Amino acid sequence: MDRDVFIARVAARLGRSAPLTAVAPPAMKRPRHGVADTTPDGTDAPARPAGPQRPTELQRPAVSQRPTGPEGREELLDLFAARLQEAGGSVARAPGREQALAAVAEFAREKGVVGFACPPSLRWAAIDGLWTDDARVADFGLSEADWGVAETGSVVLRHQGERGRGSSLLPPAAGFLLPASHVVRGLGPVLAQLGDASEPLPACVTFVTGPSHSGDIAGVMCRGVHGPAEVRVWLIEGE
Amino acid sequence: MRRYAKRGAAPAARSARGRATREARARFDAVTRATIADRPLHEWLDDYQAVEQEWHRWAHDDLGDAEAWRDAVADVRRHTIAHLDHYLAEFADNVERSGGRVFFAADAREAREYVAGVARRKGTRRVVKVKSMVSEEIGLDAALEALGAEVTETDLGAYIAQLAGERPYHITGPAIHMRLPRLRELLSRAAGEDLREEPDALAASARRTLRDKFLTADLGVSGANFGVASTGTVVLVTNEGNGRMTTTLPPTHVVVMGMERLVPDWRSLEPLLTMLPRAGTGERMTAYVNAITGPRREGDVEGPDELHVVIVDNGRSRILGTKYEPVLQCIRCGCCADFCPVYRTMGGHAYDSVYTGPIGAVLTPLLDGLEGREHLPFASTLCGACDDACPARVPLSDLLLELRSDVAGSAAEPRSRALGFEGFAAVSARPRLWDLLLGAAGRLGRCVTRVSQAAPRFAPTGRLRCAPRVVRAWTDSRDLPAPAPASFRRLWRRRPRAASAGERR
Repeated sequence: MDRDVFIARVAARLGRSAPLTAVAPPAMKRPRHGVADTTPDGTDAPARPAGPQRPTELQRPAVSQRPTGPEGREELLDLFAARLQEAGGSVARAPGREQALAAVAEFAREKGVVGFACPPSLRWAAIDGLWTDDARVADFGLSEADWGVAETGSVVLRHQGERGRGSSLLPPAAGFLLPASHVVRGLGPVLAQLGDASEPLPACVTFVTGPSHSGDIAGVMCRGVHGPAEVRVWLIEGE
Repeated sequence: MRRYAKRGAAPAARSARGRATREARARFDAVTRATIADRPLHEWLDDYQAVEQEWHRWAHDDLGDAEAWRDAVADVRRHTIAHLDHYLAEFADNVERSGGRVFFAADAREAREYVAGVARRKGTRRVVKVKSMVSEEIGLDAALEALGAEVTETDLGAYIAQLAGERPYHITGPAIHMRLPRLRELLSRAAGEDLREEPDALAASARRTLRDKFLTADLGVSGANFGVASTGTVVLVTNEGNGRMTTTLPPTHVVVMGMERLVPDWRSLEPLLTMLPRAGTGERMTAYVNAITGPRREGDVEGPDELHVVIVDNGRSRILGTKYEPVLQCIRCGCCADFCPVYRTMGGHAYDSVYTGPIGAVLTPLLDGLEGREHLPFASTLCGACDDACPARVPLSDLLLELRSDVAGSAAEPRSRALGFEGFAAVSARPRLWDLLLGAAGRLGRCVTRVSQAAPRFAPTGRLRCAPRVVRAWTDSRDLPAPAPASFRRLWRRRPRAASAGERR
């Protein structure tokens, strides 16, 4: 159907003789997360109940107050780590980029990785023998994350140029390098920046929160259904 | 007074319509009875709901003031729908600006033909699909298969349902009713090997089979959880990663989305991305949210070369501007079914639709027309559990009631019931007649009391157990209280006047 006819029909149903040309954005009050940061170290946050058995004793998560005063960096990073762990991923911290890369190489060696996928510009000496530019045949992929979201344990990737989509998707294990200073509390600031018209969006932006999973096989949680079964984030301090 | 009997179509048309209605009703009854008789399935669905509800509560408690977040979601959805003409134009402009192509489809046929046209031009042999309820709604698979293409659903549950040749059982869990032996049978046949009856082994096999499909597909078809008007972005929310695969690997990506899926901007995504995973799967966030803005750019190492966005009306604009408009607020999380006692009892296939649960009972008659769907609005106890659970504040019970009143005014209303209500209206408007009939009922009541003393089997403790045909549907499973020996009006007339006057003071 012709676009103008289609839209005119919608406008008519909404009681207008012609389509609107300008609309004020919705007056949206952004609610605050009430509980997100439960304990000071973020480790005692109530766990998601296990499935698929019928829950016996229902443990209601305690509702505590949000900490007052300036938000501590450490507390934020701890929250990020706790939330990502809960989603099934893991976090390692490194004092700088060099140490982080060394830790990644060590991790790959321990896992017996034979195909290491990452953008060519990231490639470094320690993984030279393992490196591949084809994520389809890799068994580990490393990506640089743009942001971390503490409340959800997510990393955010802007895929453009050599920062492809496959290295965080196709191998059975995925790793991410995340500058600690790029961890924010909630989704809000990240979404605001992505929606900022002054900076063109890449063709693909992905939020990754832990490993790929599904409960479609008889309600049992299975990991690695299409994407990686293992997710590890290296937090780089001082970056 | 409303005349029920005289409304409706000419007799011949009415009998043809009556047949469709009767057949649909018979199917519904058969599926519902089969589910009720299947005790293991029943217990399975009970457990499923118990776990989902527990996760749902956990994820909302975690949020603190969940009601404020529900308000925020509803605000965004209502605003978008009230200004849909504007946001459709803005979204389409921005998709085109980022290099994608937009097609507006008035109905299922136009949408199918457009996608089939793309597939034909590309010489498509293999199609992978994700999050594609709308594509199911418009019957896309058959159109693509007619071109000789192989079409594969890639969500694990949807893939299993496809292997079984069944409709999805639940909006977010298409195969939640299947237990391990059946899953093993289906996935073993698909893989051509005898798989172990273990969830991880079955999932791993599906991963291998579907990975091969992803890598060799030449067309990816996806739905859209949200379309962001301000940037022309399509947002997909998945846990398995099939959303990313489908939008990354095949050289052509076609989005088929309902026209109401839009949101104004990225800021309005926050409440939606906060509530959709919590309501859908009881998680703080799904494993993946991917946001697609146009095809791959110059210099991008991956991504499709072509992006087509098909915006589907197919009955949605008919809902706009009516009392049913709030149904368009739905964000397809499926949690209304997780809380619905009727869904648990009759199962997802009773809805005979892509859309199951309370939202299916509302949406299906609105999209497909009421004819042959008249029984769906009655498949509810109106307990309101779905209203309380809905993250977008769709007033499901109210909409179900509205649909019931539409059914009552339609030709599908049985003549006997219409006559019954007309009779009731006539009697209740005539006090003398009313009194007379109540007196007769009272005599019947006294008679029942005597029967219950003499033969308790038929009427224990003054309640009727067997009754005339018209009320047997009730007395089959419940007792009907016998009419009181004396009506309230009669007692009132005979009350001791002086005493009551004294009490009043």
